[in-house]
Amino acid sequence: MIMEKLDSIRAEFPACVAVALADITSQTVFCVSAHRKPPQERIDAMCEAAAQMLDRVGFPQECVVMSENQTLVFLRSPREPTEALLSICTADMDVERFLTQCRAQLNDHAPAQ
Amino acid sequence: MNDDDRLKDKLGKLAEPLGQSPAPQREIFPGVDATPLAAILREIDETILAREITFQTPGGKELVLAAANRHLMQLLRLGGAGAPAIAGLDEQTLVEGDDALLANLHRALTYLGEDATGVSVSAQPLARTISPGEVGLSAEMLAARWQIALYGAQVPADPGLAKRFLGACTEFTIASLLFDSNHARQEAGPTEARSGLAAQADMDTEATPPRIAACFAAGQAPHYLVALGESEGDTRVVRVFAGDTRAYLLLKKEDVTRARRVWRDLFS
Repeated sequence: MIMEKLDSIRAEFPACVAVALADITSQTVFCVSAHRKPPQERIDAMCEAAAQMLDRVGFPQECVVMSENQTLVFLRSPREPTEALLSICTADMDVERFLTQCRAQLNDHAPAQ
Repeated sequence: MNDDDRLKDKLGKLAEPLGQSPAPQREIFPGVDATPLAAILREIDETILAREITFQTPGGKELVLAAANRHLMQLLRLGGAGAPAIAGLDEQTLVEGDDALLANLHRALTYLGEDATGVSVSAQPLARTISPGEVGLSAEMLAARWQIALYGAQVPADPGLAKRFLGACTEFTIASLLFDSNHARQEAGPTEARSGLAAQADMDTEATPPRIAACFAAGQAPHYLVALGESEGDTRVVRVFAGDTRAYLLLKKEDVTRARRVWRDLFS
């Protein structure tokens, strides 16, 4: 079910290279949807970075990291705060629209058990 | 020799202990990189099973390390004339966040490059077992930390980028802080807002967070804009890391999108 949601996000946003659902407390990646799966180290590093960014004063709900050629989007689940959607996107991603769609998918997603 | 004998011969060779024949050597530093360091890190990055890897130069310098799972697990020894004396480095647990350890490690790994016209490498199975708690340092993280491009060309950090970004956002920024490469601080905006930003800046002890850097192709993206969305409040802090330079902007929530566009425009 969650894989279908991740796949649908990628299908709607071709600029999304990979999207994953993870538990940021234990830094465990549950599943990844990608055309070509990035190396596990890269996924793990992304999960660590998400934990580092979202585990801050103010309890951030989302984090967007933009470099010259890529954008990372981390979005905490509103229903299960320890879970987050992690995505690797190209620089031309429409971040606002992407965040809106990801929030909708997370709102609709039952927490992993 | 008939087929049976040939088969026995081949099986016999396969049954030989791995240590009997010397590990094959190959050249890894044909002068493409500025130093052998990138080549060394690439070897670590391409090592999955636990291996003892030996690097040698024609001048007799030698570096032996243990690598597994694309991580540097242990520095085993340095050999040759003029090897830096780094006491106890071979006994230290390699972990992130220890600046002294990373500095010593950098010295040890760059030692080969001082007179290297070429570096050859050989590898053999590691004699000991990697324990479950032994994490080591990923080659990708080390490359990001030392601003080395493991694969492909490195993009140099632009120290003026954070300042240009601040200048372009002045119109809608409530307050800002800029730390230049000498850690000098420039401030703008109301005092109260600036003190909040200073608290945020104190949390970011790294000029470029290594975990963020490791998410991108190592060394190829030295500039990052980080925008966090808190659950409450009408303001947001946007951070910019550009090499040794850091900038912090306090914005109204609705202006974060503008800031992102300004950032993208700087590269277009």
